[in-house]
Amino acid sequence: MSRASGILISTVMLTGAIARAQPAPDVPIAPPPTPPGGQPAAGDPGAPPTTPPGPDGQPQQPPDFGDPYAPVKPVAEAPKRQLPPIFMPEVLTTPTGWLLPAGVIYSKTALDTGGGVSSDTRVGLGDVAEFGLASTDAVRERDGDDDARATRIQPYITASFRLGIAENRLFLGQPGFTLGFRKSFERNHDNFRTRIAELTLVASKHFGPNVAVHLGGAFWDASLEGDLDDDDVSARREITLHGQNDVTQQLRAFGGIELRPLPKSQILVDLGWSPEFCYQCTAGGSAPDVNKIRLRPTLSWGVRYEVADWMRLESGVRVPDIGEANLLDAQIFGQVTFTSRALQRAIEGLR
Amino acid sequence: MRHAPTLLAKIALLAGLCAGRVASADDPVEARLLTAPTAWLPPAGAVTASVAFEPSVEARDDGALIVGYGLGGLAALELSVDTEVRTCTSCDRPANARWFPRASFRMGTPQDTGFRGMPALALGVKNTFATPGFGVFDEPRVTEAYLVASRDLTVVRLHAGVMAIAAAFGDFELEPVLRPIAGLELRPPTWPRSSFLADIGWSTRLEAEAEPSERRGPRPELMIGGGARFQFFTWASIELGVRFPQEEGLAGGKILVRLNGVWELATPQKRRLKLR
Repeated sequence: MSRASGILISTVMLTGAIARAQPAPDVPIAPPPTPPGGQPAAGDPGAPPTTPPGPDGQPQQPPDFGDPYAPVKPVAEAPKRQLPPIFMPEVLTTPTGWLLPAGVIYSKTALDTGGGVSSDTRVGLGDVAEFGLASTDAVRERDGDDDARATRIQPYITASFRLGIAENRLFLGQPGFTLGFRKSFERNHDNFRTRIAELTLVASKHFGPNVAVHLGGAFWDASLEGDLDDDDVSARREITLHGQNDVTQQLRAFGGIELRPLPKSQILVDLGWSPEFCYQCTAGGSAPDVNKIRLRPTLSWGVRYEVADWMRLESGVRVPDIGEANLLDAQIFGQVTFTSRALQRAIEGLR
Repeated sequence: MRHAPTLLAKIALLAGLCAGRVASADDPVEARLLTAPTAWLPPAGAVTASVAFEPSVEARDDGALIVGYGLGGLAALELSVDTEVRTCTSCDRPANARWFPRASFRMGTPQDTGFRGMPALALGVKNTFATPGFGVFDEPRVTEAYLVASRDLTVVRLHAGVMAIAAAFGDFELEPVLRPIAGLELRPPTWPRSSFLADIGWSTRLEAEAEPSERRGPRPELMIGGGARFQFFTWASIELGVRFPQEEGLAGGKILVRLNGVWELATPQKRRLKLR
C-alpha cells in the first residue's frame, strides 16, 4: 500500500513539474535569439525547416502555409508555340509549292458525276517533306482509234514524295518550292499493264492574304504493255513515253490560282495534265505508237469552303480533255478534305 | 519592279471579287424561275430543296426532286432527279418523260459586288450522270453550261444569259449549241408575298425515229413558261405555272406545281431565311 502511494505521489509531482515548465496560453513566446549574422543556426529548433536543393542546386521554396485567404497569384503558363498554318498541297488537281507542316495528316476523298472515286492521304515530314498514298481516277484508256470516249482506269494507286522549301524561308518574298515525285503501282487492266510516273517542280506564292498563284512544270513518263497491234497476231510488247525519244512529249507546264474573296471561302482554278492510254491506236502514221500514250490537259474550277479548321468542302467542275472542248465529258465533283494536327501536337508535347 | 506583285495582287483580287463575294443577305436565293436558271446563290452552309410535280393531259409523271447546298457563299452544288430531258421514237406525239439523275454546280457573285448597279452573275454547269440506257437510247448524256445575270429592281427582277447545250446517245451527238435564256419577275407592292414569273429556257429532246426519218439525235427544245410564286413561310414558297415545249405547242402545255425551301444550317441563330 505504501509502495503504491509512493508511486502515485511521484507521478503527480513529476507531471506537475512538467506543467509548470510550460508557458501560460496567453503568454507570448519570445522569439529565439538570432546568432550573429542574422541567420538562424542550422539545427536550431527555431529555424525554418530546411529543404533539399533542387535539381539546379538552388534551394527549393518551402510551401507557404500562411494566410489561406490571400489572393492566389496567377500561374503564368509557358507560351504555346504558334502552329504554322496549313496550306493545301493541291489546288484542285495540280500540286502546289506548299508542303504540309510536320506531323500534319491530310486526307481527301472525292466523288464525281463520271463515276470517279479518288482518295489521297499524306503526312508532313519535318516541315521539309511530305509522303502520300493516293488512288487517282485521272488516268484514262481507250481501246483504239474508233473508241471516241475514253474511260477511266480506277482505282489507280500511286505513292508520292515531295520535298521543298516553305514560302519566305530563305528570304522575304521567296515563293514556296516543292520538288515532287509520284509513281504508280503497276496496274493490270483488260490484260494491259500500265504504269505512270511524274516529276514535278512547283513554285507557289501569296500576293497578299487573298491571292496565291502556282506555276510548275512536270516531266512525265508512262509505260504500256500488252497486245498493242490491231492485227490477228497476239504478241505482247511494251512501249514507254520516254521511248518515243521526244522530250517535248514528256514535259508539260501546269498552274493554278487561288482567290479568297471571303475569309473561309476560296475560288480555285487550275490546269493540269493526265495520261491517256490508247491500246491499239495506230493513227500516228510513221510512228504508230505515238498516240498510244498521250497527255491530256485537264481544266478545273471550283470553290473550297472551310467548314472547320479540320474540314474543308470542295466542289467544282472538271473537264478532262479541255483541248477538245468536249462539254459532255465535264464532270461535277465534290470532295471533302480533313486535316489533323493530332500527331503534330503529340510531337510538340514530346519536346 | 517592286510594284509588280502588288499590282498583280490587286488585279487578281479584283477579279476574285468580281468572280465571287459574300452572298448578300438581301439577295434572293431561288436558283431558277420555271425553267431558266437565275444567278442567285444560297448563303454558305444553306440547304435548299425543291419538289416539283408536273401533271399533263398525257399523265407522263413529269417532275423533279432537287437538293442543294450553298458552298461558302460563292457557289452552290445541287443533286436532282428530273424529267427535263425527254425522249421520243414517234416524235409527232408528245415526248416521254424520263427520269435522269443530274448534278449542277454554280459559282458566281451577288449583285452590286463590283459596282453599284452590277447584276448578280453566275456560271453554271449541269449534267446527267449514272444514267442507264434504255432501248435505242444508249448511254444518254446531256450537259448544259450557262452564264446568267440577274438584277433585282424592286418591283421587277430581270434575268438574262446564254446557255450551251451538248448531248449524246448511242452514235448520235449534239455539238455544243448556244441558246439565249431570259426571265422576268413582277413583284407587285400590294402583294409582298407574291411574284409573277415568265421565262424562256431550254430542255433537251432525244429523238430516235426509225430511218429514213431525219429526227434522229439530240436537239435543244425551247420551253416557254409563265406562272406565279407565293411565299407562305419565310423559308418556303410554292410556284404554280404552265410550261409549253416548243415541239408540242399549247396543247402540250404542262402545269407545274413546285415547292421550294431553304434552311440555313451554318448559322444556328438564323434558322430561317427570307426567300423574298
